[in-house]
Amino acid sequence: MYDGAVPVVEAIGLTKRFPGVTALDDVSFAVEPGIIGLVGANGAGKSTLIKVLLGLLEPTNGEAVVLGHQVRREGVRVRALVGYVPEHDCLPGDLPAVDFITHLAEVSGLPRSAARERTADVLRHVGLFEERYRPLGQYSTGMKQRAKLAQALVHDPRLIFLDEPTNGLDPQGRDEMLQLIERTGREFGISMIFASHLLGELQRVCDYLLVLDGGRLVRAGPMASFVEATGSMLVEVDGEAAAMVEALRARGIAAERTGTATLVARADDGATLDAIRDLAAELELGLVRLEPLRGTLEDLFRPEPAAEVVGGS
Amino acid sequence: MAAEGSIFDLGYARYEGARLGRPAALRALFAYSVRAAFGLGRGIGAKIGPMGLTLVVAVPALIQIAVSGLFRGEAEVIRAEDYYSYVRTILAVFVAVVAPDLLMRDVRSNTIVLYFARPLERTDYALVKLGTLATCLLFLTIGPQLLLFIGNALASPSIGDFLREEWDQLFPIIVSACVTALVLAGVGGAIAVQTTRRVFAAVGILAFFLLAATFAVVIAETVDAEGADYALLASPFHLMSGATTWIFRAQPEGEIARAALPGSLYFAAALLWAAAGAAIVLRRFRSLKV
Repeated sequence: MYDGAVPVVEAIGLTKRFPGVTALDDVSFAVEPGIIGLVGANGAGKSTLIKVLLGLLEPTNGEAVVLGHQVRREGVRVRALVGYVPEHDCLPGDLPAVDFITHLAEVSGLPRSAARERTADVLRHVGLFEERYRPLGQYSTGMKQRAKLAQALVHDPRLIFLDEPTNGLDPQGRDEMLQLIERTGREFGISMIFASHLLGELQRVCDYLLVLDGGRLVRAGPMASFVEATGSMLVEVDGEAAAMVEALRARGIAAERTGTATLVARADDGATLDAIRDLAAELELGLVRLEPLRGTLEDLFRPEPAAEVVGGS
Repeated sequence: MAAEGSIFDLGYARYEGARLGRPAALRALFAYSVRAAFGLGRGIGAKIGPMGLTLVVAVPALIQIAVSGLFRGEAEVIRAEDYYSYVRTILAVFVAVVAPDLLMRDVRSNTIVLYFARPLERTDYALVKLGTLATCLLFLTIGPQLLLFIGNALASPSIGDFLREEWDQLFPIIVSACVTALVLAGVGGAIAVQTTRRVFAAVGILAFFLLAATFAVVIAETVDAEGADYALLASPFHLMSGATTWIFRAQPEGEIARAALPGSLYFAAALLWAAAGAAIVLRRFRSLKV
């Protein structure tokens, strides 16, 4: 949990059970304004959590508070302040974007003239201004994702929920969508909760991360804490790493081989660096790489390695 | 070649203007839905059915006006209390054409999730859609009746005399139109929300109205058992006829006359069917998985 600012979303013991499956299991967190990533494999509960926070699904147990309003009691109030970009197709094929998004702006409570003006503005912002009179059914996948973002932005929400917004996009489209998301969040102060199973894009844009697995919140924290220095050194040599590992252990430095020519030394102080340099020279191994080992999001889903047995009997 | 939909960001601005709240949102949804029901803002194909049926429903009124004009208001071929018996099948076809699209189009395309994520309740959405259907039907019931009334007034030797003699017809015209619209909307809506397949819903709606009428008559007229006449209360068409006859204080005819059930019973049953249909529609949208 962040310190200080008022949470933009708070979940207290949220549980959602369907027949035969528990989609959310006692999930509790509080997040401050910013771009918050929601990561997990397919079926982890990301979409269910978003729908519960929007008031689209009633939780079996627990409470959700969004922008200071209890979702159960004040669902309408919450939905006046938030936007939603659903994962799946949801646009009517026969209507032009400008007409449909203007209509949704009015349903969000904007007067007609303001709805028209805002629609033009957000379509320009997402890069669909030139195509605004084309029927939505003629849009490409990337354009449809932008149109979904436009309808979520048109009433100027304080928070947007995005469920897999880069689904179905090619690499360029993915890159542009992430830029748009980042710009919208950082420059215009609109908080975002961004669900994805793609770790790279979350690492790129998010400030904070919620990790779901099997409906449970397994970890939550600032993005930096997931990718910070681990206090270990990654070493690559131009020969067999096994000998280096054994030698480091003989000097009381914990080490594991991670590949034929790579190893991790579980310390990053000056004495360890000196030992690595000296042992490389002693064993006549070239030092190809020596760098601090940083965590990655992939580590969240990587199984724990088995203990490495190095050397002979 | 420029990338499709490249970002030309000319600046996003925050909105500091008025936010009108839920009543305005519902009005916007209602207005949009009425336009969509008649195909306005959509292609020609979406307009032909609803607009064509609207014209057809007015044909008896136009015939009566023509006859009145020829005979200076002395001939009344089509009376107000009989109007719906001439057009009830057309009205049922209108429901079959319009209701599936009006109520389930957004569900079919999954657009419904964008509405549910907005500041309104699921029941708001359902009631607005049902209200739209009833409003469209009201237009098709009151419209021709008022056309008939005004046409007869204009064709009469003295408009003043006509209005003095006939002004008390206006209240029954409006009430019977409302009851007819509510029954058709409630029953048609309840059937329409059972499936997202438009053709199945349309056939189901028409079949129900026609078959219920047929079976009701068969049971009432051929089954020699006490209470067989009450079968007429299971037919929306007969509810419309019986309620209209009672509202106009007119002489019942046909199977309504032979059944000899109190007219108020048709009126009450009509409202009950409308309410039950609305309850089914509300339940469907409340339980919809998005």
